[in-house]
Amino acid sequence: MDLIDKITKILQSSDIESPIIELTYDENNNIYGYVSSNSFLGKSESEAQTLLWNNLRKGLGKRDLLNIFMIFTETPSETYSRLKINIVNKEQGIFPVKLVNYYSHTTPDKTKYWAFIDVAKYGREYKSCYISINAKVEFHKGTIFNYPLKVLQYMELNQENYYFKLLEDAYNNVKEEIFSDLLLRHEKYASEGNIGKNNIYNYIFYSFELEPCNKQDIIFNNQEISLLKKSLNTLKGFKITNYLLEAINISQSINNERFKI
Amino acid sequence: MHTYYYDASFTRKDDCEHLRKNTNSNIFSIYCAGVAVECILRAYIKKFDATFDSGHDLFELAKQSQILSLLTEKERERFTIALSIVKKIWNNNLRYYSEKKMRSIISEKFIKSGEKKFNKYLEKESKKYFESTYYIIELGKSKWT
Repeated sequence: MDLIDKITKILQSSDIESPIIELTYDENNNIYGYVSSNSFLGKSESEAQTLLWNNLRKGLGKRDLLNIFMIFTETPSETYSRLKINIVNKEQGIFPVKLVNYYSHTTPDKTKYWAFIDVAKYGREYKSCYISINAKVEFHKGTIFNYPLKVLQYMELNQENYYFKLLEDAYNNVKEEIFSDLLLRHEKYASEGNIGKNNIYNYIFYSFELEPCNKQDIIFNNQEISLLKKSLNTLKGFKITNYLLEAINISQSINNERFKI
Repeated sequence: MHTYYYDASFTRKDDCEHLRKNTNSNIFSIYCAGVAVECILRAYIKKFDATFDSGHDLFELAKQSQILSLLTEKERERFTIALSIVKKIWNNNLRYYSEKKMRSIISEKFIKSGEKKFNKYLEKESKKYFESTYYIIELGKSKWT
């Protein structure tokens, strides 16, 4: 077993959650690369390296450790930022994002991600939120971000631009979240021997986008409704909660009618 | 050629320290510090391979510089931490960024960090970034032959 395989095995069975491992050898067989995981969230670079190296030192001998030159630790969000820069550099131009509150993304194996974003004002401060679900793969993420007045003032935006700027950030955050999940799926396919174009998730490095949706066209299946209902309680104060409840009611009626037929 | 890059690294470091005295030059001081790091890595690359050009990716430059082969295990770990901190902020396009864009990026990092005190966060991240750049440059100097 070569050293990269050993490291991969050690990290996959370590306390580092679902690691995405990108390692290469240089011409002297020294190892460089990246390890991405949610386990590094909230950790300083030093703490993240300590977590990585504690696991490597448990599983490898001194000789092998000497050949590990530089492994960067990243959160999935940081991996997306790094890879996004490469995607943008390859393309001819950057197309402006159409900012709406509803998006979807369908994968080549026909699973569907929904993504919903919103911004709300609370006194002099703002909050943004996103939810993303994919019922088929049991994916369910959501977060609220608080923007205190001090931060808004630091950004030097005109007040009328707060909503759109924060909505744009919410869009980028939910896109990162979905990308991170797709990256894990890509890694799973790759570990089964599906490399390059044979990996159905390879497209995420070249052409991953969220498609804007019209509110009227949103129909959820029963699994999606079940997942969404879990998140809606935490989104009090955001207008999107009402729109989603409405969409859920309509979807339930349609699904019930279909069942009758 | 490699000595030009070596000398440039310290000139850029001095430029950075001068820029840091003026709060209106925040972006350029961040950019300058990263360029100083890039220069010391390029100096090492050119020392071993005069024809090589690895663009502006600090990870690739560090890899090609072979500087890590001169470091102990502890020094490599510390170098990796420092370079990771620099790379998360610096990229060669910083020179095109407006103050507003940079503030937007920093604000977003703060919001996602979950930290509560914004001014303290700014102070801490700035210190961490510049200390990391200076560490890499001084380490490069200490290992230079």
